[in-house]
Amino acid sequence: MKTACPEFERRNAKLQHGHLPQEELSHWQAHVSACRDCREQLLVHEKLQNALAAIAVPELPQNFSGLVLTRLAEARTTNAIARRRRAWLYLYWIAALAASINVVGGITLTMWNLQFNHLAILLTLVPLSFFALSYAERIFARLLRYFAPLLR
Amino acid sequence: MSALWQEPRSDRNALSAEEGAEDSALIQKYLESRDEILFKALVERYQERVFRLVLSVLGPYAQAEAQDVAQDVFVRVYRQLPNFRGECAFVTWVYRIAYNQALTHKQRARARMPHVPIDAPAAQALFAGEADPYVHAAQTERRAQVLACMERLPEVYRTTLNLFYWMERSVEEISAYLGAPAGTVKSYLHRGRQKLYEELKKQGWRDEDGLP
Repeated sequence: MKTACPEFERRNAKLQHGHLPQEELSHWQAHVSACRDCREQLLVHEKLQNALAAIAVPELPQNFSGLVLTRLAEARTTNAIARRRRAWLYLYWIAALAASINVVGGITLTMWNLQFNHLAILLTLVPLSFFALSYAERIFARLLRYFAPLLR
Repeated sequence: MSALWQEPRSDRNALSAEEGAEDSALIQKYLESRDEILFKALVERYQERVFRLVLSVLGPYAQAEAQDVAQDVFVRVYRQLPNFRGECAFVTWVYRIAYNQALTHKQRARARMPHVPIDAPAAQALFAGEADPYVHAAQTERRAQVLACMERLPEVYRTTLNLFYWMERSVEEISAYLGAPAGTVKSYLHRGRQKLYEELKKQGWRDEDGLP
């Protein structure tokens, strides 16, 4: 692994602040011609200055803070809508559950009255409950999607 | 070698105790009153610095996105401000959020579009102003190659080099931006240049091409 020469960073910091005296300058030039690491560092340093310093740093718009406040207001509105939607989501799941219990309960009572076998009732009810809940949820989701714009 | 001789960098953005005290007072007032004018004042204090840090992470080809990301940073600051416990300086906390937000954005952008070609038209748009079109084209190509090689550097080296060479921030300022000691920043700069040298060599550059 290549060893890093500390001279470049030391001088570079000095040069940035314009503190490099004339006598040190000649010493630095002699060092650069002898030190491979510093030569490489200097080469890349110049390439970077040439490439990056040529790119103009864009400015922020004058009303940037105003734009941030607008974004915050939008985020607050979005959060409020999301909260309201979450409340409706719970409601339609409860409605779907109630509707499916109603359907499944009705069918169970009918089968019971017609004196069906208990195993047959159980085998019918398990998939029936699942489908009833699933369909009820879909129906209520559609209803919510339809009525949501009216509720805003 | 003349390129090394620069004007002294200003330390207008350096951290100061006075600034920290002003921040604390402003935050305290804001948390008590929830007055948006106070939050706006906080944004105005840090918007330039946050924008520069975000730009340094995203790079010169993402100038349009940087403004959006900087806005997201302040939205996050707004949301998390009530949880800010003052264990570090406010500015350090804001920089940490900005750095993480910019990194996340960059990673997502990479996942969406793994390779961003640094082509001639994009580079032409960045480097304008040379009088001779042939010289301009040649210089633009060389500069674009340097930027393309920079894209292959590890995140922290690239950000440090961008802050130092593009944004012209001092080592002390970069140290505040990254929350790392000045010695570590110097080491990042050194290793960043070393890795960039290796990348340029891989691209067929010779020492004679650019030695002073």
